[in-house]
Formats: sequence, C-alpha cells, structure tokens
Amino acid sequence: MTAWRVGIDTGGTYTDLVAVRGPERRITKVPSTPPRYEEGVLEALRAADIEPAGVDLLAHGTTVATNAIITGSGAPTALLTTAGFRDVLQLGRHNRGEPFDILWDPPPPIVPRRYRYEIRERLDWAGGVVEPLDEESVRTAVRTAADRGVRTFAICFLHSYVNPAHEERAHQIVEEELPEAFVCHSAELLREPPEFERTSTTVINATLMPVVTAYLSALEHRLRGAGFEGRLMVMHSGGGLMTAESSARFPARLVTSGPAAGAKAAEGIAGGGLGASGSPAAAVVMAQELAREEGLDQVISLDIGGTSADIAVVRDGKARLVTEYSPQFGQPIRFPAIDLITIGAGGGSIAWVDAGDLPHVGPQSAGAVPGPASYLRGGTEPTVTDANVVLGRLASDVDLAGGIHLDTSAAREAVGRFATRLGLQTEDAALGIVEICNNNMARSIRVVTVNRGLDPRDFTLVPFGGAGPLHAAELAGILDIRRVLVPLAPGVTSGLGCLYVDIVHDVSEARIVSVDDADVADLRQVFGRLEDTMRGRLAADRVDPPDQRLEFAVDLRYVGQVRGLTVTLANGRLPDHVRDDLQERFYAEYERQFHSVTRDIPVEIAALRVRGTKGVERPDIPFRSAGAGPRWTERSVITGTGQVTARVGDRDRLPIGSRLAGPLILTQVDSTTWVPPGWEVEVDRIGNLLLTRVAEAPVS
Amino acid sequence: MSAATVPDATPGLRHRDPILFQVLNSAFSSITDEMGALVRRAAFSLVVSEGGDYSGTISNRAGDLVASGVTDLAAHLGTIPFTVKGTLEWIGVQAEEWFHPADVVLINDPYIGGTHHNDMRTIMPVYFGERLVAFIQNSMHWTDIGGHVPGTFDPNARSSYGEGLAVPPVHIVREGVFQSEMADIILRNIRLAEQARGDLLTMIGAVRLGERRMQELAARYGADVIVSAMDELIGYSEQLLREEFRKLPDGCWDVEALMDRDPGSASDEPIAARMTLTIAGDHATMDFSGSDGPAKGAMNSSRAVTISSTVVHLKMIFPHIPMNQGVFRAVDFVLPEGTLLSAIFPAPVSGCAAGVYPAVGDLILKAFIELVPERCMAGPTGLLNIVMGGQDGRPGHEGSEFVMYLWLEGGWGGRLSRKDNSVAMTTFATTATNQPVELHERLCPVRFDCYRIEPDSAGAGWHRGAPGVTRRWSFPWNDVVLSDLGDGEKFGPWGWAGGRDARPNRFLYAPGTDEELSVGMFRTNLPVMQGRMLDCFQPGGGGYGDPFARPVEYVLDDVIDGFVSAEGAARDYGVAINVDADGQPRVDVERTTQLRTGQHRPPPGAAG
Repeated sequence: MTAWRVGIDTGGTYTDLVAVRGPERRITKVPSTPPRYEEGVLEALRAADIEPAGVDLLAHGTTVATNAIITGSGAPTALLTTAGFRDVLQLGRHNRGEPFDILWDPPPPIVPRRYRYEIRERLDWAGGVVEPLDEESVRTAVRTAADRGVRTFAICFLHSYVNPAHEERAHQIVEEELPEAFVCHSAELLREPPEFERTSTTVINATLMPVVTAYLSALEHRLRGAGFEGRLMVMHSGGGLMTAESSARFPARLVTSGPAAGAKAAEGIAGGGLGASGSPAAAVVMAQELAREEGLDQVISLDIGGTSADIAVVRDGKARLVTEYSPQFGQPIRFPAIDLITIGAGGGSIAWVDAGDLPHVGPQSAGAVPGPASYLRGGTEPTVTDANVVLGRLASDVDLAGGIHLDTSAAREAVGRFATRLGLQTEDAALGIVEICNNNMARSIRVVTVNRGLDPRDFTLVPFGGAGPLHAAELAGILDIRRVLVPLAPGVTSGLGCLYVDIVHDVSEARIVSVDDADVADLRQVFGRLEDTMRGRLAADRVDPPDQRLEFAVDLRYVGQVRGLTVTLANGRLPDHVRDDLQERFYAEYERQFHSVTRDIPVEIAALRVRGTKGVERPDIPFRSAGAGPRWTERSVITGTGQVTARVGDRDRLPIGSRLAGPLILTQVDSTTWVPPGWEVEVDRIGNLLLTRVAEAPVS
Repeated sequence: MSAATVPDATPGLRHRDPILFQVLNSAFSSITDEMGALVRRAAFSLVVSEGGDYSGTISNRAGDLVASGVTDLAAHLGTIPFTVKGTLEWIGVQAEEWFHPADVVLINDPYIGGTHHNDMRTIMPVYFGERLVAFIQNSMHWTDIGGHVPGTFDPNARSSYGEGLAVPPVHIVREGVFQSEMADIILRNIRLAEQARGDLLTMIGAVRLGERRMQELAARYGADVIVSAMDELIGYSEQLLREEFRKLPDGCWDVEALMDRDPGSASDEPIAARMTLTIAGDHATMDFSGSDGPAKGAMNSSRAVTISSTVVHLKMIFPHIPMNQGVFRAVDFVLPEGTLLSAIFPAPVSGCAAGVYPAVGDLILKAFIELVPERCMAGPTGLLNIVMGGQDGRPGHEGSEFVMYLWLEGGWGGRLSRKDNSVAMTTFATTATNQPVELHERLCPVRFDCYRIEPDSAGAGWHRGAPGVTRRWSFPWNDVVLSDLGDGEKFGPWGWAGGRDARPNRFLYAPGTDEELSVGMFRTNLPVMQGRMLDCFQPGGGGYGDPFARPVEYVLDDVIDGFVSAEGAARDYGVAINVDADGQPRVDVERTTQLRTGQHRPPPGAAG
C-alpha cells in the first residue's frame, strides 16, 4: 500500500490538514494549540484518522517564527560587530514607513544597544585583513552577555561576504565559550553586501533559532514517538520546502512575508496569534495553481482565518516575488519571498466601541481560545463569526471542523451588548460588524491592486479560509468585482498548498569580469562548483539525482553600474561564444527592463547563479463526491436590504454544471459559502464554485 | 473595464466615479514608483542607487506637479513645477512646437527651477495621438558636474559660473534619436564622465517608462479622463490643506532662523531667514520679505528651493495630503527678489541644500509648533554636503580618478506626542537612504573607522531629541582633496518648550594629533594626506520640554544603552546614576531628588 502524503498548516487559530494516498483524500481542521503547536499537528492526524507510521511526507507550514518576531518573543540575542559599527543595526538605511510623517517611528531594534558588542577586527573591501580578529574581545563579549542571561549570538562583520574567516572563527569561539549557545554568522546566510541588510537578516535568524529549534524538535519528537518514519519538510516564505534541519538553521526563511505592509495591523494581531495560515505562501501557491487550471489571468487571493487575512495578487499565473521582505518595517530579511500582505481582520476579530461611540472591528481577535462567544469556549466578546450567526449565515445546526458547535443565543447575547451600546437592534449591529469587517478587507485589497495601478474590477476574487467564502461576494460588491471563484476545499488551502510546492535552493558566487575578458573554461569551472554545492544540498533534502532540476543564470551589468540584471541560460550551458551571446542577451533584456540601451559602455559579468529544485508530482486530488444534488432546507438570512429566505445545501452534493441563483448558503465541512441575492453560482467542470454578479450591487 | 464603458469626461470624476478617481490617483503614483525602482536598479552612482538622490514625477500640460514617487527625494519635489513651467517659458513657443513625441530634454539650470547644478533632469512630453497631455520628469544627482572641485560643491564660488556646468533646456533625444554631440559637450566638461554617461542612459530610460505607462492609461481610460483626473487631484490636495488651515486659529506669527555666516563675506555674523505666517480662515500667507539680503557666498537659494522646503515641511506636518501642485496653491507666498531666499542669476546657490533649505524648514516648524505642537518637532539636524576626490591609489585601481559624494544622517527633534526621536536622513531627503560602508569602501579608496551614535549628543528634553552620528574616515592608499558645504557649526538644532538645543556640527582633520584642524563648513579642496583621519559629527535633534522632568526610568534606559553618559544624565537630566560593581547602572534616588529640586538645577534655556 502506498503511504500518505500530508500537508499540515498551523495558523494562529486553526491547524489544517490535507492528506492524499493514491485516490484517497482526507481533510480536517482542528483548533491550533498555542503555545504548544505540535499538539495541534498530532491532533489533526488523529482527527483525520491517519496513522503517523503510514505517512511518507509531512509538509508543514508554521506560524511560530512569524509570531515570535511580531510579538517580540524571539530569544534575547547579542550581536557581535566590527569595532566602530555596533549601531549599524539601529541606524539601518533610514527608510521611513511614512516618509514625510514627523510622528512615524521605526520599530525598536531586535537587539538593543546594550547587547551589541564591538569586536576588534577589520577586513578591507577585498577581504584582506587590516586588523586580525582579537579573539579575547570575542571571549569577553560572550562572557559579558552570558552573565546577563543571553544564550543566542548573531555575528556580522564588515566585508565578511568576501571573506568569512573572522566570522567563522568568532562563531567557533562563541561555541567554545558557551557550548549550549545558538550562534549564526552572516556569511552562512547571505554572501552579499550591504552590511545593514546582512546584519538584520542575521539577527532575525539568530533570535529565531532557539524558538524554531525547540518547536521542530518537540514536533519531531512527538511524531517519531507516534511512529512517524517519513520526511518532515517545512514551508518557507519563498513558496518552497526545506528540511527540518535547514529550517532550524535558517529560521528567518519561515517568517511570513505578509505583515510588511501592515505594520500597524500586526501590532493588533500580536496578542491573538498570527496569520490566517502558518504559511500564507502556501495559500498563494494554491491560488497560482487554481489560476493556471482555470485559465484566469488576474486573481486576488484572500485567505480569511480566525485572526487575520492574507492578501496576494497573482497575475499571469504567478505571484510576485520579492528579494527582500520585512516582518516589520525596517527589519529586512534578504531571502526571496512571495509578496503578500496580512491584515488583522478575520472571523475572530472583535467588535468594539470606542470612547467616541464609534464602532470598530479588530484588529484584536478572540482567536481559537477563548474564541467567538458562539463557540461556548469562554469567549464573551462579539466577533465577526458571532455576527454571521446572528444574520443566519452560519448555522447552529452544522458541526464545524474541530467539533465546534455554534450557539445562537450566545452569539445574540454578545452582539446584543454591542448593539445596546450603539442604540441599535441586534440584527442591525450584526450587519454593521460584517460591513465594517468587509470594508477593512476591501481597503487592503485596494492596497495590493489600486496602489499598484491595477484595477480590482479586472480581477477574480479567490477566497480561502473558513470565513473567506462567507464574505467574498459582499466584499466583491464593495470593490465592484463581478467574479468570485470558491475552490473545492477553501478551508484547508494552506495545508493543500504545502503539497504542491517544490523544494527550492539558490546558490551564487560573485565573479566580476568584463564580458570581453571572460574565459569560458573558467566560468564553467565556477558553474561546476556551484552545481556540486547545489547537488549536495538537494541530496541532503533527499532529492535523488534524476529528480534534481538545475537552472543556470548570469548577473550582468554595465561596467561601473551598481546593480544590473540576471540572464537565465536557456539550455543550462554557457555558450561557446560567451561574449557575443551574453552581450546580445544583455542588450535585449536591458532595453526591455530599462527602456534605454547603449553599446558605448562595456558589459561585465557580476555573478553566477544556480537554482536547484525538485518538482513534486502535482497531486491530482479527487475532491468531488458523486453530486446527486443536495437535500435543500430553507433558512431566513438577514441582508443589507432586508430579510430573505435562502436555500441551504451541502456543497459537495452539487452536480457539475449546476447553475443556481442566490440567496443560497452552501455548506461544507471546512467552510461556508454565502451567495447573496443578485448573484449566481455555477459549479464548474472541476467542481469549483464560480459566483457571478448578475444584478447591480445595492447602493450602500 | 474597457475604454468604451468609461463615462464622459465632464468635470467631477472624483464625485461621479470615486473608485476610478482613486484608481487613477494610485496609477499615477504607481508609475512614478516604477520609475523610481528602475532608477535604483539601473543607476551607476552610489548616491542614486543606494542613497536615493533621485525623483520621477508627472506634471500636467501646464507643468503643474501631479504625482511623485514615494521614494522621490523630498527636496526635488517642490522644485519640479518650476523646472517644467520654467522650461515652457524659456522655449518661448507653444510646447507642441518644441516638444515632439519621443523627445527627451535635459536641464539642470538652477535658475530654471533647479536646485544645485549637480541635480540633472530629463523631461519627456506624453502625447496621446496628437494631443500633449503631460510631462514626465526624472532627476538624478550627478556626482560631479564640473568646475574647480571634485564633486563640484565649491563654497567659495562667488557666482553661478563657479558652481559647475549649467545646462539650459536642450534636446538630448530628438524624436527618438540620441543627440551624441550634445552628450559629448556635457561629458567633456565633467569628472566621472563614464558614470554620468550611464546615469544619463538611466534617466532617459526612466522618462520613457513613464511616458509609456501614461500612454497605456490614456489608451485604456481615454485622454480626457486622464487629464481631468490630474487636475482634480491637484484640487483635492488644495482642498485638504485649506481644511487644515481652517482648523487653525487666525493670527500672525513671526519666526526667524539663523545660519552661521555668509561664506563670501569677511564678517562672521549670522545671516537670517525670516517669515511671517498669517492664517486667516482657510488662507495661509507666508511672507519671507523680512529675510536678509543676498549672500555673496553660496548661502542663497532660488525661489524654487525656498518654496520646495516650505511645501515639504507642510507635508511633514500634514502627511495625509497628496504631494502635488495643490499644496503650493493652498499657500500665498510673498517672496520678493532681493533676499537670500530668492536668488537672482548669477548669485551662487550651491548652499541651497545644506544651508537655506533647512533654515526655511526651521521657519515652518517654528511657526507650526505653536499652532499644532502635537504634529511638529523641535529642530532637526541640517544637511552637510561633503565631496572628496583624487587618484585612487589602491592596487589594481592605479590611475583611476574617483569622486566620493557623502550625505549624512543625524537626529530629528523631540516631539510632544512621543517619548523621543530616532536618527533619520535630513528633512531635505526624508525619503532617501544612507550609503552603506561596504559599498563606499569597495568603490572609493576610503576606510571608515567608525559609524556610530554619539553619546550625549541629543538635545535634552522631557521628549528627548534623537542623538547625532559620528563617522570617521581615513585614507590608507592616497591623498585626497576635500570640500564641504554646510551650516550649523555655531547653532545646534533648536530645543523647544524648555528642551535644550542639540550639540552643533563638528568636522575635524587629524583629530587628537598635532595637525588637528577644524575643517569647518566652507572648505574648498583641503588636501587630506594619506594616512590622516577625518572626524565628522552630524548633530542630533533639539529636545522638547523640561529634561529635568523626563521620567527617571527613561533616563536610566538611555544610560544603559549608552545614548546618555552617567555624567550627562546628572548634568542634562538631573538624574544621578552610579555604576555598581557588577557593571550595572543604578539610579541614586536621593541624589536625583536633590539634583532635580535643588539649586543645581540649570535655568530653563541653558545649553545642554
């Protein structure tokens, strides 16, 4: 019998599981279990009735790294710098989140000045030693920091990207002095200037090492104890998988690329766990897959979880990649990542009234614990979920994932208190909560579309998460979007996404030589070295040689230029006529990207790059059951234009090709889809729901 | 949405289709941001690629500023309308007769809207069919634009002729064809010609990108819609700023900002910029006519730079207002000729960035801190331009010439609504970034000996200003020549409401040796010998409120982190801190009470 391949994504509120074995599939959703998230992973396997011993691959997305950065709960960390440069981390580059706003403040540095130690050593720009490493000053710093209880060390010296010798020796000394310490030095993460970006990446990585190590070893321990003998892989923000060992060494890669655009929202989320998904990148990977499958050019992916929503744009089948991202403004991590934003709006977002009697929703969240009032788990604050219960959009007679049963009277009571405060009827207050929440999300969708000159009306909205399909149609109405595509298993998308991703590694080597002087043999030698390194990394991730896919590229620029561009080598080989071939490709690419080109300035090679991947076999997941047609019931639902009677049915029983008109409520175990009046829904050939607006949206 | 479904372009797009209005508003910004991204990636000079000394903007047919990029250099923005409108005036014919499709025009003339000569600009018309609908502009600081000094900044120039090559509006691309002879004239007159050739290429590419994107927008939504969106956006900003003025009390406020001296004068007396702000309903009048007369040396600014400083500082106080011509329109400027704020050709103006621009900024902050203290700050650091050049003596670089242009960050002032402030770029360049040490050292024969926050340099206050920053450079391989142009050696950034002034500028040659010498703020081609060190301290920001009332725990934290020394804590904040045997600083409560209540307490306003 073949083994299970399992994707498990741990978000702040829920842990999602998708498992595939041959034609079989299972999905489940259980509450996350902070701070011991590993329990939720085990619970998800139990709930899905999957024996860990029968699992071959467990692909895992986790929120622990992101959560630690946003809440400032990374390990206390010391930073060792070149003498004279301990303030590089604090001075940064001076980018301002609000360039003109006098009142804007950067977040405090992850390592406060008191824990930044200057080490006597100096290299020059070419890596030559100007001043040898003063080993005693390293030992003194380690002891001083250790006396203050610090056990985690980041090391970043000037020009170490050219010559890492001093950093490597300092690393050894820290380990000699304090064998139990967590240490990382910049050159093992990033071999490029400039110093601030490298320092920031190193510090974030260091402060997360104890956190992620503890989590993954606890998880691995529990899994092995339960009989798991397969591979544990972790999803990173670049949309690829890493081994657990690599993750413990490079935990900065696990930090979501989301909150960068929403620093303020992240503050609010901090209290209640973070992220619709542990790895929002996994959901975006799924959006890419869907867009490709459905032939959609432009898709907005919206993943609404319990505490927050992640938003990304997929154009021409691809999400945008960034080379640097920041969990908070001014804290760059220089690894490639999927571009997305996270905001504090989800099913658990709490509705509240401010001192001036104005209503707000979020960013504070009730999370999974205590959860919305209707969960009857101790939550008393009115949440978006409670409002949906009051409005009849979420039913009390359906068991939700994780065995949660919604209690209508608790929801009415919580929303009622909020209503009284505002002098409203309970139903009107519930409508208001949903509307405010939708508008918050609409504003953020405008950030990723309108603010980049894209018209949201040209896009298809693809909602994920337990609450995504519940809000999507009305949210689309606000944005004047006419099409919504609800995927098959929207509530466990990130878990599913974990099964669709590739193992991806990147290596590069700087080699500055003019194209005229380039020696093909020499360059091939460099590529040979890079290829060896890459194959070693892939082999360490247990990718067999036949499955290893390598891509070769060259960074080119004009002599004297600071940056430049990357040209991928078509057949993976350097042409024999390097000069003419690279030069012509450079000119063509330069003109395309920079709109102006000259042959009067010589061209040079700056670096050679190799990307190695393992393509995973795309799971062909038979999520459809025989659609004999649902057994319809009826329920009264409150809308902005009054009360309507909606038909309620089991989504999984809808036959392919069905066309129905709203108002409809379509339920499934991991999500609920609300099709308001004025919208039509069609079950497409794959089983996705395509919602189309047929009437003009009511003026709101 | 296709062009066919777009409603007719009658006025009032903003109200008729607010979503489309917002889409276009953001699309304009997005175009300028994309130009900025192109420039950062393709630029050759470090001050542009890493420092961010560039801008890319959209103007309407009349030359009014419509949109700018989020990373565009603050000080450029207010000058762009003067460049585009100035060019339209200069050509003396209908724009359509002179600007043809696919033309690119080059200009750096400070008297046609520019800043200093180093800021080179390209302008490209945007035609949609036959119709000229907009202009795209791109500025980049060129490391050198000729003249007596490597890096061009010469504080001792006595006229515009000594401040580098001036380029009036000329075609560098004519209907798509690069004018190489024009380029040759320019490049023959400057240092680092190859770098400039690359940067010129980048600037041409940037405006072409902007032109293409605007044409795409026009093709999609129709030229009429684009044109009215641009005009309405300007009206929108004006309305927002006037709303802010309306909320302020009516009245008049007189403010003054002093600069150290006129480098062209024998006198050491300070020179002054002055403003009377009058608020009446939603009108604000800024009258600068009481300012001192023109300086003989470089401490003058063109009208464009003075107004640019004004609008940038207004934007800092009211950051929600989109930066465009509407901000200019909301203010009535009284800025007659005959002051140092409205220089006339050929008065020297290369000190506009380092001296006059910050002084005008101080006028705005000093006036508005009385009106909206919660949105303002005490005095921030000013700008110091430093240029060094010579022959690169590093092995493998022999014979190559280098010019290094540095700009420095310092502290911003204390704020009523915040505990303290942090180090930032100057208000000239709020949008810019510093240039990394590793890149400077790779490109130039210089070694940084430190780059650090200086203790006790922040203006003391209940709300502490940000500390200043010290850099030290040495030159292990060769001699260099150094020129600098700045201000603030006499007067540190000002404190407010009992807060103390921050420590002023310091710039030393060979500190701590027999050869020690103060470089000062106005040096031309000072020889710096191989092996000697330079020490440059850029000030912090002024304090806000009584430092002796600053919570003791804040002061203790500052001592633990080394922002304030134990001596500084006692002297400037009245907090006594002892360092215990275990190396931990602790507050001496009794002595602190004595210091804070006793006769030791300095009178308000005493320098920190």
